[in-house]
Amino acid sequence: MLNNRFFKNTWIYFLLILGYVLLYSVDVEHVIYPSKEGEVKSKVDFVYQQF
Amino acid sequence: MKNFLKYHLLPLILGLFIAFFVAIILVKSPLLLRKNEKTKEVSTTKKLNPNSCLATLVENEKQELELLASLQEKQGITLFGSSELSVDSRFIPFTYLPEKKGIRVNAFGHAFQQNFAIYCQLLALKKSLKNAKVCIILSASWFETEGTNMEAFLEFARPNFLKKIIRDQSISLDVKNYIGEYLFKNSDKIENSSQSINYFINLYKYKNIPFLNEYFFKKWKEFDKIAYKVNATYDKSVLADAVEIDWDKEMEFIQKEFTSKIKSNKIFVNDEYFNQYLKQEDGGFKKGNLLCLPKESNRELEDFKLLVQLLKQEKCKASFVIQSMNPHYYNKLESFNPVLEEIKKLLEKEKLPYLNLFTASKKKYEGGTLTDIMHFGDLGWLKVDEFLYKTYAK
Amino acid sequence: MFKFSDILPFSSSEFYLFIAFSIALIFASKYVLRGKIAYQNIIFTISFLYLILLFPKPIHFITFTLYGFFIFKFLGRKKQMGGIFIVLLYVLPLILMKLTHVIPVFKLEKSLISIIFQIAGLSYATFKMIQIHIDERESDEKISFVNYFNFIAFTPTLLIGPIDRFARFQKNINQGFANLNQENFNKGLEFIMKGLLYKYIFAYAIFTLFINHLDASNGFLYHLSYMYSYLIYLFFDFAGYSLLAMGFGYMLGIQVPFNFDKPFLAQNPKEFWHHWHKTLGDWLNDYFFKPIFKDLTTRKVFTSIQRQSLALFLTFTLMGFWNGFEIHYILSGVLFGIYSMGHNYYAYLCKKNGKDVVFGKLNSTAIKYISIFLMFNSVAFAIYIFSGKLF
Repeated sequence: MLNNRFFKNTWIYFLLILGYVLLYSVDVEHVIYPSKEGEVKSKVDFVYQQF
Repeated sequence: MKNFLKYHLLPLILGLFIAFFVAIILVKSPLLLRKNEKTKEVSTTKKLNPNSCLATLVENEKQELELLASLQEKQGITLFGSSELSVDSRFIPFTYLPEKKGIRVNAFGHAFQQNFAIYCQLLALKKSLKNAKVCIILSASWFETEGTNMEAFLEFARPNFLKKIIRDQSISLDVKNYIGEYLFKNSDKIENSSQSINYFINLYKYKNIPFLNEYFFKKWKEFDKIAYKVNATYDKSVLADAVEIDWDKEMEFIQKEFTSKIKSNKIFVNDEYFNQYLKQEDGGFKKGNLLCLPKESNRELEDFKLLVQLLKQEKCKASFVIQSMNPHYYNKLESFNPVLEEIKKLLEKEKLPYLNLFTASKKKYEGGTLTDIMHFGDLGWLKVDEFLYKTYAK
Repeated sequence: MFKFSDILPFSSSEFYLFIAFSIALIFASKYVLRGKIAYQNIIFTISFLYLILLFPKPIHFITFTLYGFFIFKFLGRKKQMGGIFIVLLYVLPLILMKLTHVIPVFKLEKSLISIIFQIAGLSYATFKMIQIHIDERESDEKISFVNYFNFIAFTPTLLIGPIDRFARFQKNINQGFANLNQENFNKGLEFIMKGLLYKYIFAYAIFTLFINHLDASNGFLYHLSYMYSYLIYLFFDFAGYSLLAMGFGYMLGIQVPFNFDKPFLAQNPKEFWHHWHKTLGDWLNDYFFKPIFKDLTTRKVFTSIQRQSLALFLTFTLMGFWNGFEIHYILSGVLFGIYSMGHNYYAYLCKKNGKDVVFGKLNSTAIKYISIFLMFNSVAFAIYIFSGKLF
């Protein structure tokens, strides 16, 4: 029952999930390359009232 | 079906199991955590004004020190508010009280600063809250919004403040998650999110996955330690000697002065504002509605409660002013009443002094309290001055 | 929160939702409606809905398909219409679109040429139109617009292939719901998972963790690192994309041909193009190289090896032009042409002399590894030129 196709797929699922956790959740890019913080801006520009 | 189970479902479960196992080992190891021993110093030696209003904190980091200094100096008053702080009035507390009573007043804020922005600023500086005299001017109109807007949040909850909150281990995880929830739900409104914003977002996003939650929490070690140093004092020469004030007489006088000047309307709105914004061609005037959100699902009220809790916990000498709204202009002002009751109940329970100038009734509304439809005029400000003086100086 | 326009295949979650919905629809048609609606009509509905609901400039794309269908139906069968003329009619919109990248006046976003001909998926549609034209124009079977459209606009392969062949595609269409079986579903799911792994994990990791942080001040070393990493990145990204197209194709009942299969183990250019973007390599071979070589042979110009070399060179140069009229694309095509010519001449010399003219009597395993090494580096260099990093 346990043939190559089974192991190959397990390997793919394993790499997919681990890769997802490391790249998209843990964001290893920021762990390896901590970037300096720039000014964060709001996308919505509120038009202030008269005051 | 058998093949699907054998080649997909089983591999998926097995893959998931092993991947999580490896991921747990990795995130628990020091491999994915950076160590940061850096301390970032923010200091100033500039003489401080004891009678200023700082509309925003975005211009430079030294502005953050002005807020800190105001909280650290326990004699004067720190005032938070929104658009009313930009009104031009000689009775505005940061002008009137230093001039007439020799009391330092520093105000912070402009339109759109609401409870959550104030909360985050004070949370970051919570170690200086003890015995600080802090007054917050609330507006009923805040409670018809979904909470502080993102632009105002970013303007007041400065990167250094966020870092201080992240590094402060005495701030509970629940509070950090609350900030994370706000940022996560509004993340579509943020351009190029910073690492500190991501910290809160991740904390909230993965709060139900224990090993990731623990990992993201531990990342506080990656942030610079912020060391504020205020090497400056207030310029006391600006503060005048106290004079005796007959509050009632003064109020009566300025109310008459205000109403006598109005020629265009009978709803106690100054002529300039009325003619520009309210006047209609048929001789009538425009009206507006206050659509306060129900107290059960009012984010602003939640923010307010959190703010009160913080002030109380840190033994801050806090007080609140609830601003009026012009009932001649606004319909449905009573929609604010349930929230107002909730606010009053909480303040009374916590024994925090407050001044309520809000009323939905045209009869009870005193002309001149507001200069227009929602911003304090001379009379309103004088009432605030009296309240501050009696709360803090007497 | 959902976007409903400008969603290219495999570019966002909305697309994946759409394709998942399509798969559900097609399976429901088989098992719930019990095939009451013809399979080809459902494929048509899916492709049409995708274009109308999500694709940028759907009207342009549909008009272009009608244009191709018109040429095929009404002009292609007339004997007096020369082959070259017809092919030119097919590629004219593509040429105009490519010109928008190099001619300053066309570049302007609001230039008429740009507005009309800047259509996503135009080049792959053109390839397929030429293929139908050449292979099917004399066929007895009448091709309906539905079948023509299905082939040109099949959602998973619409944008970047793999480039299918009409007869093969039509075979699957004719088999109808029979292809919607467990085996194809499982296979499709495998391709999708592998595709996701390639594109969203491997390619993304190489890009964000390596290429993105290369230090340009390192001069030669920077360019060398870029050259290799870009090649690996491009492979995973493109192969991942092709696998996703295959996977969703299988799930919809269309056995989309494979495009990439261990290309870096190729020992020579010919082998390489059988394993790297195979469907393009095959297309160029069948519809460009072979006709040119045949034409040159009938004209009896040059010797056989010269004819082969010229045809190879022209084929790969055309590929360069097809990528774009920018100098780096053209030059990378020329380079691939030179590689193929060089290898072809080497094979010719070996055959003529009855021995390996370069490696002599070196053992075959060593030759194999040296060849792989040389091929890999040659490809890396050509793809580096292609990337436009140098100029």
